[in-house]
Amino acid sequence: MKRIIDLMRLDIIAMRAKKLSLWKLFAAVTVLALILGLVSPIFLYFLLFAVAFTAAQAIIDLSNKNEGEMTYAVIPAARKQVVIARYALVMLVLTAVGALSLIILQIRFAMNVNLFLDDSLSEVLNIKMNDGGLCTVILCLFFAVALIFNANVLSGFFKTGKTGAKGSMFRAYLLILAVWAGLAVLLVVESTLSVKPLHAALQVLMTTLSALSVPYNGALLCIFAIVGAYGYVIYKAACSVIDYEEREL
Amino acid sequence: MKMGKIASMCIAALLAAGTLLVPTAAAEDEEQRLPSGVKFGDIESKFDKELNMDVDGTEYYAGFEAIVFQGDDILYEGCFGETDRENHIACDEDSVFEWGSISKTMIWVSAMQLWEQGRLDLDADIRDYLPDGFLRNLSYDEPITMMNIMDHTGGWCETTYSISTADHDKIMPLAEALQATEPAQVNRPGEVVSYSNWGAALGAYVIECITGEDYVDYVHENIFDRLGMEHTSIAPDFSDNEWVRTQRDKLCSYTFQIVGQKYRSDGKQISYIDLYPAGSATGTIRDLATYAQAFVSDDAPLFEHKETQDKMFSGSVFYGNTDIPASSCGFGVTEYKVRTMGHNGATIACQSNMLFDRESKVGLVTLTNETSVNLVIQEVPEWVFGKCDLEKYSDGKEETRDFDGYYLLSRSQRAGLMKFTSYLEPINAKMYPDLVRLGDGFYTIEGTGMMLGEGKRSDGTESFVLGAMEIDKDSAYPAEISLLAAYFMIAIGAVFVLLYKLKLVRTGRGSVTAIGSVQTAGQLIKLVSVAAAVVMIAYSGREETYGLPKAVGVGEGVVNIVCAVLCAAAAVASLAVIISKKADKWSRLRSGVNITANVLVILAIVYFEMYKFWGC
Repeated sequence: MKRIIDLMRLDIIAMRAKKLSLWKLFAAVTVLALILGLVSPIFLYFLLFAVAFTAAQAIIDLSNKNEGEMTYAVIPAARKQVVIARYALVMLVLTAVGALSLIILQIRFAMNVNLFLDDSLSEVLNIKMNDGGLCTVILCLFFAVALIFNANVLSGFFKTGKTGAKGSMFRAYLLILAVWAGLAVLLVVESTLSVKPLHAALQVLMTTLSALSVPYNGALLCIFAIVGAYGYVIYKAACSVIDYEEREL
Repeated sequence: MKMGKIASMCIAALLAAGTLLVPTAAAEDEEQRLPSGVKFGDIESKFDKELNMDVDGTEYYAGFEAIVFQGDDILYEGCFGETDRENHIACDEDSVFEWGSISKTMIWVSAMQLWEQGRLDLDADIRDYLPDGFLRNLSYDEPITMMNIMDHTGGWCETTYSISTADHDKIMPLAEALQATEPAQVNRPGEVVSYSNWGAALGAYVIECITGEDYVDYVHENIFDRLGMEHTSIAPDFSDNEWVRTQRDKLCSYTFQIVGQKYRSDGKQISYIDLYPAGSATGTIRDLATYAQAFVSDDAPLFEHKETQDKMFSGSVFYGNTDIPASSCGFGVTEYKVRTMGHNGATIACQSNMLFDRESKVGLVTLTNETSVNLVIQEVPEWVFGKCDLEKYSDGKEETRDFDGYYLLSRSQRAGLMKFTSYLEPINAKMYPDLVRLGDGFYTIEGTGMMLGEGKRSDGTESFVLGAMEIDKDSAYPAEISLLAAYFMIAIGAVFVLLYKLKLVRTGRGSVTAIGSVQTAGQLIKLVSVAAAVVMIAYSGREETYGLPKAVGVGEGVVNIVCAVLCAAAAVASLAVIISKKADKWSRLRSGVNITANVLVILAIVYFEMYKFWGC
């Protein structure tokens, strides 16, 4: 465990090496978004979106610029530990940002500032949860997507290594796009062609998600989304251990 | 003088005549208005104005017909749109539509006719009339009466298996269909209102058993022929009326698509309902009006004595401890400005509505070949009967009551394979305002116009009656939906575990062990189980069958039994790893997670009865 923590510190040191280090920029954006998050949850979503598409890549880029791969090859650390450390660091950053966003969101709704959504939205959603619950669910879904996206970026990096983060990013982008495109195609096909089995399968998915969103004002759906996303991260990390150990450095 | 006297007399006569004339004119004016306040003479313009809208080419309906009547007089008849848009067949008086659940009222009428003749005791156990051992899934010893059947309080949950077929050759006789689809009895008879197609069809079978006559023949002789309804069919395949069969073939059904704001043709959508008494009536709008007019007639043409008809509409299920009826011998009660009775219906091709006010004798019948929710058509009853003001039912005590917790619909599949689906449509009471008291055990939700009566469950479960349905509080709902979600998520997790194992094998790191094989089998079967659940939903969602084919149900049940057994074996295998001295802490952790996952899946299968393909 100590070795893993040391490896994480190594990455952090690498991030701080540049003059205007990326992490300072990241910290500034985070603080600004969190403050603005008190006005509207949109800024918190933006923050998670921004973090999702930069965290893993930033760490990998900076590490590469500081010959991180070479360093890992010479220090007495097992490849498994390197993988775990890199995943843990990225996920810790994401979790910290996600937790802060969640706290800000709850403060915002506790203050009862309603500048973003009107009451009619709850009616549109068939009265499953209130606006606070809905915003929290959206935030948690953004967070879950962020976890999945970064796990894919890291996985690509440990598998291919030399191409750096860009190839990994591209694949991760493609995956997210493919998921959205797939959903859009499903909806279009279902609504225009009336494929009844497809309709039924979509109905199962939507009604289960909808039912999950009812208890505790959406909290249960949030928990399941996040647990599912962390589960995916663990799977990707386990696969990365194999890929990294198999790879010639 | 004489002239003056004559003039005075004339003036007096005119004044007297005027005195007589004024209230008469007022009375006529009063009579010539619908309960909503719309004058008889304005009905046509009202309908035309509202239904002939053409704003930006937006389509408001596919085909729609309506008749407004008072007593024997037709006040208005309107046909809008087309029965077949592709071939431009316009709706007219010869168009036939499926009446859906309005058919059930014929069962209730038949039952009341037999009661009137002393051949049926509404409070006797229906098993006295049925063949021995006909009902096989009963859970309670209490008698089930015809009154329970009419009130939908027989205790049955929604059926699991198909109650209709798209294949003419597979239409089953009524008794056979009833036995093939008998649902579980999940509530004590007389306690819970839960609308039941199956229960209604059983009522029709009781009629058959008492009369010794086929239900189709009975309805023709005692309802259609009595009223002169020559353009209506009740048999599942329209075989009792060739003209209706021909006309039905000209009807197509449509669904409104939000994308594009257009109607999509669903074709003819002909489906044969095995439990046909519950929803197979098909006919013209005029026949439906004739049928509805019988219920406001003082002659009570369907009965020997008017008192029988009066009893039928005297209310049988009431809101709380009030005399406000929620339903009346199977007829629905809907409060507008006046109290209406009747029934609505929906099939996979059409929607229908029949409403009448027994006081003013004004009635409305509507038919449409549209299956989607149509907000314009939904407003039509208010044009006729006016808006309801619930204040008139208030006993003046201004009290509110907390409305909190999670509620489930009584009309759902509460037992057997599909039990889990009843947890997918919860009502979160917290999102509604508090209940406002109207009477003893009678409430409304402010701003919604909804009327709720306190339920009367003997187990103390808090419940509310809403018309022909109840909602009951489920305190364990968060735990239940979590268990169901865990079942789905563990199966998705199993996919990734299997992919990881595959990766290990491909890189030469995996080794085949007995324990590992059992665990892998456990992961595979979880996937199969969830896939089977989705297939089952897909099948049950097929509109033309209204339920699950038997083979699919049996397959699903067997898969889940195998799944539970393999999961138990996988859990035991993982336990063996934990106990083993060779295992490191990571192996023990993995095995612990594996045991938890398997136990959760077994719990879900058992709790949601996913294995139980029988008795539902």
